[in-house]
Amino acid sequence: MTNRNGQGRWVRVCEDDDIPFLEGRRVEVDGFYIGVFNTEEGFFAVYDVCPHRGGPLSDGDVAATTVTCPLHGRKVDLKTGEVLNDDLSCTFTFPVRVEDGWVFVNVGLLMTMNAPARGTGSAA
Amino acid sequence: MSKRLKVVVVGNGIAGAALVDELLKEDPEEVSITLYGDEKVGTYDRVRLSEYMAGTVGLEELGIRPKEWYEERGIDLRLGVRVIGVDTKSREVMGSDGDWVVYDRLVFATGSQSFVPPIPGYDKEGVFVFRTVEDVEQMLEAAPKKAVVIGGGLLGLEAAWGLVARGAEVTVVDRAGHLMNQQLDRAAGAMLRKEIEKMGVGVRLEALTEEISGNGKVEGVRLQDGEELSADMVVVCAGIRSNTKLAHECGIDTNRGIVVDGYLRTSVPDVYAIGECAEHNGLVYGLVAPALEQVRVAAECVLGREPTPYRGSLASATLKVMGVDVASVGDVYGEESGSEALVNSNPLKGTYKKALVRDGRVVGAILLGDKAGAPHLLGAVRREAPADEVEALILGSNGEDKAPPLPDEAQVCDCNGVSKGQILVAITKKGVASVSEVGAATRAGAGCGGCKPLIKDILEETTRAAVEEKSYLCPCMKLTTEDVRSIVKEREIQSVNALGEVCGAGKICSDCKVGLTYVVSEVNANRHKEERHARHINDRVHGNIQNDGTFSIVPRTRGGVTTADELRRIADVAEKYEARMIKITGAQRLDILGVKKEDLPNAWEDLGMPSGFAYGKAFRQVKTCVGTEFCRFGVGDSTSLGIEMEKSFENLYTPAKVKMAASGCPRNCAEATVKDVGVVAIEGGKWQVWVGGAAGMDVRKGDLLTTVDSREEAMKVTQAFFQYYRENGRWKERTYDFVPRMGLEEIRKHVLDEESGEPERLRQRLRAAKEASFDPWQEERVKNKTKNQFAGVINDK
Repeated sequence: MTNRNGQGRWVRVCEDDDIPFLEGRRVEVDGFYIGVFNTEEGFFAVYDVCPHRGGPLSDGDVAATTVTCPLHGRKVDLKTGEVLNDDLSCTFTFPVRVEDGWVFVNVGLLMTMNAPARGTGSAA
Repeated sequence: MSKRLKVVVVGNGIAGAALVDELLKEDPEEVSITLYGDEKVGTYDRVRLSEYMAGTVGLEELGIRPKEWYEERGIDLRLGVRVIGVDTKSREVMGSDGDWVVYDRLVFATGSQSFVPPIPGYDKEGVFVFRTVEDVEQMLEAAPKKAVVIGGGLLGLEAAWGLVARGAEVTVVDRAGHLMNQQLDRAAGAMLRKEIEKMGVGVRLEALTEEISGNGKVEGVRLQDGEELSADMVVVCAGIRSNTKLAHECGIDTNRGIVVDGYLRTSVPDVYAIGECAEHNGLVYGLVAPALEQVRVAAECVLGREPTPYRGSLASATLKVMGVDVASVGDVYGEESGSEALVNSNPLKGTYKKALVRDGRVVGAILLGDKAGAPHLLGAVRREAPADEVEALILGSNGEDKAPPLPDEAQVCDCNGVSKGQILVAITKKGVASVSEVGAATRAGAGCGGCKPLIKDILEETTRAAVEEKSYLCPCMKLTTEDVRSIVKEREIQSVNALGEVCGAGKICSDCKVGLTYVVSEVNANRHKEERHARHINDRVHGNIQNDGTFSIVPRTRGGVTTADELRRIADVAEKYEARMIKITGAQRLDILGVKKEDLPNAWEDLGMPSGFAYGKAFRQVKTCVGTEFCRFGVGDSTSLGIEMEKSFENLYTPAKVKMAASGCPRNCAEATVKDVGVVAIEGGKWQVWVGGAAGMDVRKGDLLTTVDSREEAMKVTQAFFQYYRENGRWKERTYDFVPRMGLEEIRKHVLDEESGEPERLRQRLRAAKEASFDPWQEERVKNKTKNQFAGVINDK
């Protein structure tokens, strides 16, 4: 599953049609939840734990470059991880690449994070 | 980097945090801040603690900042660390973490602590002070049945209210002759007592506590006159004492507080003190507004500028207790010679207004029972305005007289120090047009929020038009529900995507998509092109998302009637899918809580029951009583009518949720008069139809739309009204706002006048929409499902 290519660590997470247009889906890498989103601006990946109260962003409402958490409406910028409507800290974003119909996420950042903080949602 | 000014702030309360904010407003490269806070949680709005205790605000609304907030701003935050030593010669502080930190400027914001008088028994288990989040949490955990609050001041009354709201029986004990004796005169205090007693709080005045009794644990309080009050909790609110110990040990001059001058400087160079630990001109202020005034001056001084010195604050206070409005400012007793009082007292209505006048100028005021005009009065006292400016306000008939316009320099927001002039600039130069926009532009109203009505007045006065906080369906494109509806109709739009192409709504921001979906589906009688991405997760997976990401599912039990077999299946599903709780809802249904998303389709199949739509802006259910079937008082068969209504409306979306009820007699056990639509049977086979009622976030008794002669007619009227609301309601507008907005007469014209043919046309359109609706759990479980819709995690791990 792992494909090393350049900086960081690229992990193949799903096929591009696994995620319907303008929706998000959850993937799990090394025990961390990552939300992957498909929009007209491309695919994005952010840490799937809302910085506000840990809601599942992958179940949120998606627009071109934002996702709104389904729990309390915090709107996260998919490009920067910034919370646009609250004074909260950024969440993590991960580079995404689509190749031959496969979606790859660069999870190099995970190595800098501590034990998995999964937030909400069904545990695998 | 080393050129940065090193500021050490001791104390992370309101004053300390506000100072940090103020310093950050300047070039963040200019200062490096170390912030010590010995409470484990970060800064919060202590002023709203009583609301937290009463459960009306959450911790998050107390404004607690996450650690990352500090990290991003480069602040060295040391939570849970006390400063235990200061060397003012070498300019270093030592924390309980063992670190020495060098400072250029040191600011004490150590606040105060509750003063606990040495009453025998004060150390018993169950004796609390009311000061910190921790105090409140411990009090809540103790869940007292009977509590005694010692101290009838502002804090004591707030604590009492918080406890009452949590269901405790409370008595307030104070040694003074009247409540809030710092802020109110005797007459106002007596009137306040009446109001407080109405809330069910006992009051004992001129009462000295002799002993807190109990064997290790609080069992009661004995007063000096011999009265014994039984209690399992005692809350001591006998005032505050500044935290001066550390400063004193460092050789800084202290008295009641740390002594400061007009620049908030202590007796030691480059050391400042602000907030409740500081004493200025012999006064220690235990209030927010003075602390913030001090912060603004101190910040300038710390940065090496020369601000206008602080000249002391006007004591002003408002009681934040539900249902009792009290505001007080300045001198309220008028003991100085030459003081005169304007008084308007109405004990029947429980209102009391007083302004104290000296040499023709207003120097103090009290408002009780009616806070209208409070900001005007406060401003007048602050400016020592001429007495005739407030005369109408005090003596006017119940404050209905419009207050005179405020002068531009008058301060509107005391928390953030924003003047009317600054707000005017925002309105006229920046074009802000709502209270919330004023807040974003000037921070006015962003503190306690008490000045929001005044901001609204100023907006109205300035724009010369009543400010309707316009409710846009799409705020980005400034489109109302009506705008969107007419675009969809005129251009015959069938999808949210097509709508976005036409008007831009829902493209760059998803906030309005769910609302757009409603309008598109309603106008097309549910024959629109369904786009799952334009539905909320609840509507995508037909359950209500919970705080842990699992879902709750409520099967439809029409009219609240179920069977043994259905109950068995509900029980089986709850067990099989490890539901965390089964809960009987207020709407006579069963809620299975805590089902995982991936289990939802199987759970529905096992249930074999239709969706109760308990998750959407949709028709919910009809609550019923047992009517004539069983009840000996019933005059109409409310149960079967309720079931018929439910069948007629189920599976339909609405602008906001719609709850209904059917009662079989005027005893109204189904509470039909506080529902969006309610029917009540009365003698002679007649039915009343009520609309626009609510008993949720808002409580409103519905309006009697009409009384009809048969259940068939009742059915027809409710159907016409329901569709009328579907077609004319604004997105998220509940019927309790919709009905007053349209006006009852207007609604009657459309839904009752059968001769016009309009009610029948409404019902036809309702039937058309209904034909194209479906039960998402059973009928079309597979339809409208995008790939991996119910998957928990989609990759192999």
